[in-house]
Amino acid sequence: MESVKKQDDQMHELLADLLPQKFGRQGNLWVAFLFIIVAIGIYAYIQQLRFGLIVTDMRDFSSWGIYISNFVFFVAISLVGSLVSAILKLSNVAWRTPLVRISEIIAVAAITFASIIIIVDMGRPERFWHLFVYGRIQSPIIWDVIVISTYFVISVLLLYLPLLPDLALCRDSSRPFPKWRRNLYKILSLNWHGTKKQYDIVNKSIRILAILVIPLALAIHTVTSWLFATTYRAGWDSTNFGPYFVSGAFMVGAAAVIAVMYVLRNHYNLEKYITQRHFDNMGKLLVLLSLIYLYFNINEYLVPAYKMKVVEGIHLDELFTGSYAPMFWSVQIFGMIVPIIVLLFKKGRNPVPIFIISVMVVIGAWFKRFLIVTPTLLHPFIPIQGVPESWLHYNPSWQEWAITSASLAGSLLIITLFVRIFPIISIWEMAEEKGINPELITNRNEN
Amino acid sequence: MKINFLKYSRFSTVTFTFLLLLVFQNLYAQDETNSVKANITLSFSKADSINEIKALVTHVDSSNKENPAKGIEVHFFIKKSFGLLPIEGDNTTTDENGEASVEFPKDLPGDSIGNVTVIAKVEDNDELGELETMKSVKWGKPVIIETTHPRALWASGNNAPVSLVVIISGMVAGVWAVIVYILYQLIQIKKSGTYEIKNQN
Repeated sequence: MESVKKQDDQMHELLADLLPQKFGRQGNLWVAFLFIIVAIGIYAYIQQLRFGLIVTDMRDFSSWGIYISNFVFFVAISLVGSLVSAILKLSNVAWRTPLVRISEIIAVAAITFASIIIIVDMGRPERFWHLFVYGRIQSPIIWDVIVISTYFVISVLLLYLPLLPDLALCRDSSRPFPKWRRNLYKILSLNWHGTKKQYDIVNKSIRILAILVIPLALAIHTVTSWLFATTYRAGWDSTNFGPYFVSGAFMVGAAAVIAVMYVLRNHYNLEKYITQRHFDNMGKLLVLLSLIYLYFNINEYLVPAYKMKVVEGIHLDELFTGSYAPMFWSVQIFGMIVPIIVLLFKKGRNPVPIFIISVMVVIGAWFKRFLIVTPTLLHPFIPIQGVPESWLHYNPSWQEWAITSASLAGSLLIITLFVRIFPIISIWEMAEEKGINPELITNRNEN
Repeated sequence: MKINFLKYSRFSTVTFTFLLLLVFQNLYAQDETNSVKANITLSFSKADSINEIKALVTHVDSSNKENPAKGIEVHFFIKKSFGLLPIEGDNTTTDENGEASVEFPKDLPGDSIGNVTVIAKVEDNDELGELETMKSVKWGKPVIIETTHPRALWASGNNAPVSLVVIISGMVAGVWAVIVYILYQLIQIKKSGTYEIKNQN
């Protein structure tokens, strides 16, 4: 009897800590800030729709710019869903529980904006449906459309299924939620009552999706890399590109989870749930992923640099010592080498240093995608001759920066609003870990 | 506030005069070019190994009689997939019979059975204005596009390699079948919950 009371108290505590909380002043300011950036981006996009892609700095040679860099970045980040929800789950890593939903919402937000930004890059977005009707199945672009839409659906399901018991907890909670939210919880919880049958279905479905999402995650970023690698261009013409992209994606995804979990931990006082151990373990994971990425980087740059084929040579000179050198070396040093060195030390995996390192990795990863896309385009095989001066370089216009910033702000907005409405740490799974009786988890009848 | 009416009135007078001139000029030009009713026809003849394209230009006089138009410059073309291929010759100005002619070039590609479309034009003539006619003739070299490898990576979407179509469709169908199964499981969760509520009541 005493044990039941103790478990009930534990459940009360979990609910008090983990049910969605109101934004404070900081939260409201943050949301307002994100909305302003999104609004500026929408204004810039209206201009782009009105005047066409001429408002960007993309021209005949640099036909892909920061929109495509941003797209590759988002696809990369989205892979973290499969890393934490699937790979760590199937490896029976117990400490992952508080991080699963964080990584899944990052994946959903990222893949949503990857899809949006690709439409933004189109000169005639109203013809997007042509891709499905007139697309050539031989084209990697169509493969990308197929895997991205499929990965989006599976990511949403992987977010939604483990959310069902928590939605029921929100529905039955005595907290004064507004009516619309109660209705939302009621609809989304699908009459969840925590029966054995319901738990069996959810657990089986999550397991199936966890297995399915791994090859799909590899496919999504491998196919994205093939958009480049299937083209005979300096810097892209590589058989290494698939694993190179996938390893980079896992690295930036892990860094994004660390950064978000640090902010949430501090803002919502989740120190009991996201502990020092989580940062330490994620730090070890990040350093492993960074080392793998370093290995692929060495392959990607050292082998062509040893051979120095003419066009590859021009491209590599531009990166190593030319106009892109400051960006290239900053990305390699601060986005990869320094993180590896710092995270190898235990103190480097403490929350504050690992948060700073993770932000560095994420920023570095964004610029790395820019370095993959743009310099290659500006170095075609046939020398550029007799073209307007503006075609020779690529400096994104303010509209491009505004739209790109809006997409980044939009993805953060999805995460922020999700945290406002839904529990960001799985309450029922935390309760299960604490050994609380399933009866006490769902049948609380707090109304 | 003083309004400069003169300025506005002068402006409108100038504009009006300009528009008036424009209208009259157009009317005059129309009157000038359409004053004579004219016609152009094409015919083809073959002598020895030379294929000849002939254009006959006629005009109708005041007594409604059709007469050959002499000294009219005729331009000959062959229709291409996009645009026109001009054919030059020495007799492109009509003679006293109203006839102009050019030699049809040998080895000109036609469609799959050798058809080509010949066009004859009188362009911007002071008396006859614009005249144009076209006619098909089977003088081109038949062009049959060899499709020894109709299904290839570089072909159109309809001619994608069967193996590729089967593999991609198979993978997509497999993954989406699982997604449909999971969606069905969500329905089962809801049904099970509804049953639970009924039992509780």
